[in-house]
Amino acid sequence: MLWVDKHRPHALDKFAHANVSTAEHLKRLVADGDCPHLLFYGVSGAGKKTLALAVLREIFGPGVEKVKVEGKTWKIEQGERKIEVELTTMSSNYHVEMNPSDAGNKDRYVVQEVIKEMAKSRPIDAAGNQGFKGAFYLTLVDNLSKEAQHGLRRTMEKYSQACRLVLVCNSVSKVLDAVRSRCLPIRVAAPSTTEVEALLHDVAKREKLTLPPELAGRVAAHSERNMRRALLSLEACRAHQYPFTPDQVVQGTDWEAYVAQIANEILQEQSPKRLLQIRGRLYELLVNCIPPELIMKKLARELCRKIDVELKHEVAKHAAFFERRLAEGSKAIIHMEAFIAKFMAVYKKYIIASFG
Amino acid sequence: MGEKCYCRTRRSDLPLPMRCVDFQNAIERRREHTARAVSMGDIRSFFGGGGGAPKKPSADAAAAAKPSSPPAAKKSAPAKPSDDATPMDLTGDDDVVDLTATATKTSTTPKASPAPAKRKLPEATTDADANAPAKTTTPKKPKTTTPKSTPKKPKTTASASKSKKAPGEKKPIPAPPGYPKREDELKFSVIDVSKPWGFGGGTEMAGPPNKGRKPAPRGPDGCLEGCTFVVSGVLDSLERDEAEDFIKRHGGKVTSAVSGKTTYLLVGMDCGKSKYAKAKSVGTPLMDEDGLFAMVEALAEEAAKNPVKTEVEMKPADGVEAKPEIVPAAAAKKPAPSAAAAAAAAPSQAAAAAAGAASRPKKAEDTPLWVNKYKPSQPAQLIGNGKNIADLRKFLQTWDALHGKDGTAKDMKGKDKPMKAVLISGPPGIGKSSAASIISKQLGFEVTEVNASDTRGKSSNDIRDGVGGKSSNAVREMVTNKAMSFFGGPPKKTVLIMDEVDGMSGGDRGGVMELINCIKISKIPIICICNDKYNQKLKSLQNYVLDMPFSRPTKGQIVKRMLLIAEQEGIQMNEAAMEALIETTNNDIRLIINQLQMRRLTKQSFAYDDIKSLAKKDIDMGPFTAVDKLCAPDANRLTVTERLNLVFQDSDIIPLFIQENYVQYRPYAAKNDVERLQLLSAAATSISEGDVMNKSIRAKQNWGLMPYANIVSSVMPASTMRGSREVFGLHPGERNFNRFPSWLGKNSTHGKNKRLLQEVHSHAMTSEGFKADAASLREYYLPLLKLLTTRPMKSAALGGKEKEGIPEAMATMDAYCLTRQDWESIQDVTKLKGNGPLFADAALGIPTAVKSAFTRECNDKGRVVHSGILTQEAKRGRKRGAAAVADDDDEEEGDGGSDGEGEGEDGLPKKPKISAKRLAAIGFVAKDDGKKKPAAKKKAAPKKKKDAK
Repeated sequence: MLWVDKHRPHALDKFAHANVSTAEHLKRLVADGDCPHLLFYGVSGAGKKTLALAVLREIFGPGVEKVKVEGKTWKIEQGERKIEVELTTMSSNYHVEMNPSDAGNKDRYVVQEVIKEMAKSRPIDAAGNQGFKGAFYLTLVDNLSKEAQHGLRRTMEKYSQACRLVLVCNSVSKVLDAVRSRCLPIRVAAPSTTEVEALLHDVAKREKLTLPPELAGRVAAHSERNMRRALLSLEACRAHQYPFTPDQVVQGTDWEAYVAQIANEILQEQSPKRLLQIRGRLYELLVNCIPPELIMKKLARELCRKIDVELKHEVAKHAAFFERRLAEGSKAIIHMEAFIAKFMAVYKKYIIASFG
Repeated sequence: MGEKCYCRTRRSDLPLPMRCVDFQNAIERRREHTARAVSMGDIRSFFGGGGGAPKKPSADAAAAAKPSSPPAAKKSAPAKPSDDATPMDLTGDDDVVDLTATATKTSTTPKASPAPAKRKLPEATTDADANAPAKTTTPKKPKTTTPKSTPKKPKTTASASKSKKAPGEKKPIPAPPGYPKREDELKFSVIDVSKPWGFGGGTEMAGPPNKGRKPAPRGPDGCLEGCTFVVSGVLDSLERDEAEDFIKRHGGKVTSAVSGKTTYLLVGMDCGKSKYAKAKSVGTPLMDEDGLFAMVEALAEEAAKNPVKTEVEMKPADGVEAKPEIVPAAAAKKPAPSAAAAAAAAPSQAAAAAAGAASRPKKAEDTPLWVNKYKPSQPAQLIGNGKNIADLRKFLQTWDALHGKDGTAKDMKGKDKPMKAVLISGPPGIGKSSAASIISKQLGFEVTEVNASDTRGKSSNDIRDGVGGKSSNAVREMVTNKAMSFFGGPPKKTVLIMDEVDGMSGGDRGGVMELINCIKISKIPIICICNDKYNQKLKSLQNYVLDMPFSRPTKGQIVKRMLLIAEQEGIQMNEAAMEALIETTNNDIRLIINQLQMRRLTKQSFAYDDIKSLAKKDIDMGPFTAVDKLCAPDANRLTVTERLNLVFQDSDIIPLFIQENYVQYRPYAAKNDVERLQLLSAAATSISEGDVMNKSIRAKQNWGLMPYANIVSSVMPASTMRGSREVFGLHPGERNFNRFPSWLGKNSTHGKNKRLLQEVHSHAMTSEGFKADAASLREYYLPLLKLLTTRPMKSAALGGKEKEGIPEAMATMDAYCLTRQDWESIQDVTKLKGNGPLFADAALGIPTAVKSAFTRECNDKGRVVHSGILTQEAKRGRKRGAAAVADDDDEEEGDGGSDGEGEGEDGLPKKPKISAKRLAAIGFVAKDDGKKKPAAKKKAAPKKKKDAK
């Protein structure tokens, strides 16, 4: 088991470094055994899911952790159409966890039919002595389509007697207002770098390793306040070299290095030929299942890091523009390429204007 | 009205024969149709008189018949049709059927006397009016006399047309004033480079220097007849295709290579060396653009000086073809009547036959469709595919000898065994069916044709259905028996033509299988015909047939026959115009004839420009061609609508083509690198916008947006980037052609990898601590997992003790419930092609022996806990993966040697056995495990409860 999962706090009391106060609040909230619908939001690696599961455990007890995984095909009849939705769910006796956006453009049916069906008929709780039967724990709500979210809002009202929804998302702005207002939104902020550092030291202690503070600092900085990333890269460092040395290379991920390479290539040369090469590289990333939004973000950051201050605003603007297009369109490569073409045009013009 | 027409028009048919040019034909047909004649005639008359369009003329005609009588007279006519004066009535109805403008004209002379008609007719008068009076008289005349006078007509037509053509052929080849000139007087140069213009040269052909500044003269049509030009180099003011249009417009011919027949070599700047040399050696005179213009001008002047001459030239033609010729006034009326008449053409003849009058129907009304009328009837009339036709003939001729009486080949096996059937394939309209039936008939076969209009399903086994049952039974019956002749003599040879075999679908269940069976047992030759021999359905058929792919005949092959048809139908058209028409139809003979017939309704003579302007490209072109045209340097000549239509050729794929290739165009509009990048960016932004629109179209069914999306995603970027294409040399040997969109391939790989990732994720989810989603799994976990599961087994670090690393790797995998297959998936999903150690293939350093030991380890010990969650999708992936792994292992076995024992039996298939029980124990529910599922569930449920407590 990797450290990141091994040292995950399971109960609300165990939060020691990040989200301590949030955990305390939640503990008080569910003290009497009930709570409103919850919506956890925050950047990835901040501990949303850990918190959410800890809350469920607080309500239902350790039985929540006994889960079974079920892959099932739901057959839904919509008039004459018969729709099949494949979905993997993890369920304990008390809750069902699923990621409706796995169903792609059929997510609407997951929300409308599957959840409704389960909420209506499924005896989630065997004991039945709680105020409500159980909970649905939905992840990545922000990836849901608008239609699905609308469907969700009705379900939330209708079955609030029977169950609670625990929603987790990265960006709350992508969740409908209507859904937001039906939940208790809980912001899970990214931990500060010092918190991450403390966490790293703690984990190192538990693993009985000696971690030089310089390295911990660098790993924390590299992680960009993402706990998951920090722990994984610390473990990667461990795998590469132990005992640690203060000046050890912090292990990044393959795709990040790849994006950095792309950024360098763009800055080296701005030409149609280079654009064509970059296209090949972007395809490579996409084929390897790196989400395009992430590539865009990382790429824009890498580029901004290395260009003049004057250009930064403009580049950020274009990056935001095409990132939006990514969400609106269907073929990611087109929009990323358009961003790079735009950047090349802007950058080349600037370079020629300033250096002749 | 109906009843009135009924009797009136029937009689009115009588004069029709008078107008028949092809007397012999009429007689023959009449014989054929005599039996049906009377009854059919009724129908025809109904259409002729009562059908929508002709109504008005009939009224007119009636009026014409009795111009002096008051309107009431019109009513009186129907009231007593039978007793009425025959000639009068006939006059009117005649015109109904005939529908020439004569109707109105005759109104001035309603009662033409027979005498002038008689006199005029043999003279082949040029006056169309003459026809009408002539007709009116016919019924009174003895039938035999009229036909006698008519047969002359076709002859005169032929001779006249010949005589008309003759001067054209003998016409001295026109020469421009002051020619031949010396070479140094001409504006031209020969290019030095031996390499011709073309691929990868990177050179651009400059446009004509004086483009659009010189007015091109317009000479009389056909003034360049007999001249053959070859164009080479960049002309002074005309683009290449404009020059070709110019020449063809004036009746000249343009060929691509210089030969002895070439009249002039039209030269410009940088003309090809080989053409120039060839012209020199053959002695072809050179000419530049000015010379061409001067020549046409001179011819135009000449024509203007003696217009009489041209008129004379035209006149005989007019005269002879007076009958089919439409007098301007009639032109407008022509379409409706002929259509109506066409609908009832055969019966009309029958009626005529019944009346016993010699028929003189118009050619256009002779048969419903020219396609049928000019269907080849002899092998000589078939166009193109000579070798295939010869093969087909040979096949039929030798069939009996080869396959003997019992339908089995003698003493031949394997490859040499001759096929018992042929499969003729090729695009529509090139004469496949015609060839098959004509050749068969010529060789004395009785032809039975079965096509898509017959059900061709599997023949039923029930013998009682017999021939009377399904048609396929009849077919089967047929192929298994030799026909017997009733009255002795040699038995008839039969051949079965299965037309449109690729059209078997839906209703024709098991049709192809049935066909194959028929071929196997057949005692007669079978000819199968299809359009697309690569059709999936025909795959199994391929093994039983002799392949005979027909190709489209060339323009040159088609043009002669088409001109003949045009001439027979009285269409004036020169070779250039016909060639243009052929081009627009993409050499589909049937389409050409249909087009001719349709066009004939409105017009009678077609100049080159008519065809060029009329001919919208209603042929389909591939996406490659469309994209070439969209991005070509001269794309600005197309209107936006034309460009949009190009995109609509296939609006799914063309935007992708544009996206794939737009980067490689060097836009004309750009003056420097920055501008080029800016244009590139503009194009890219436009494409991106188009993608957004496209998503809206598909997701919200906003199909109304389609044209706009196509404009934004294809037309705009293409016109922004308009220019010449260049190769960046990223791939050695890349050719300067548009590439097929790589998005499709990448997208499918992405889909596959996504599935693999999801599978890995779902396995990892079963481990206790893991909480991340699939994306985070890929982004942060997999790089580390990959490292931890491969490095321990790599040789570099361990020096020969790699196998000791296996448990370490296994520990990591067990922690996340990963299988051997997941291990493979992880490698697949994290394979970034790049430079540096980070992107190297992690599995590369693992010795094969270690790898196979690892595989065994993974499959051993019932390490199958997690495989309980088999979603259907995962199963699919697994199957494929399992096969792949098995293959891998086999290889490894071969390579690795010592460690290979027993791997096959220990392989993956073992898994399911253990899994069901174990799963039940752990509480996983196997989803699609067939029968085991309910049991597993039941067991799982109580256990779970206990666990919970």
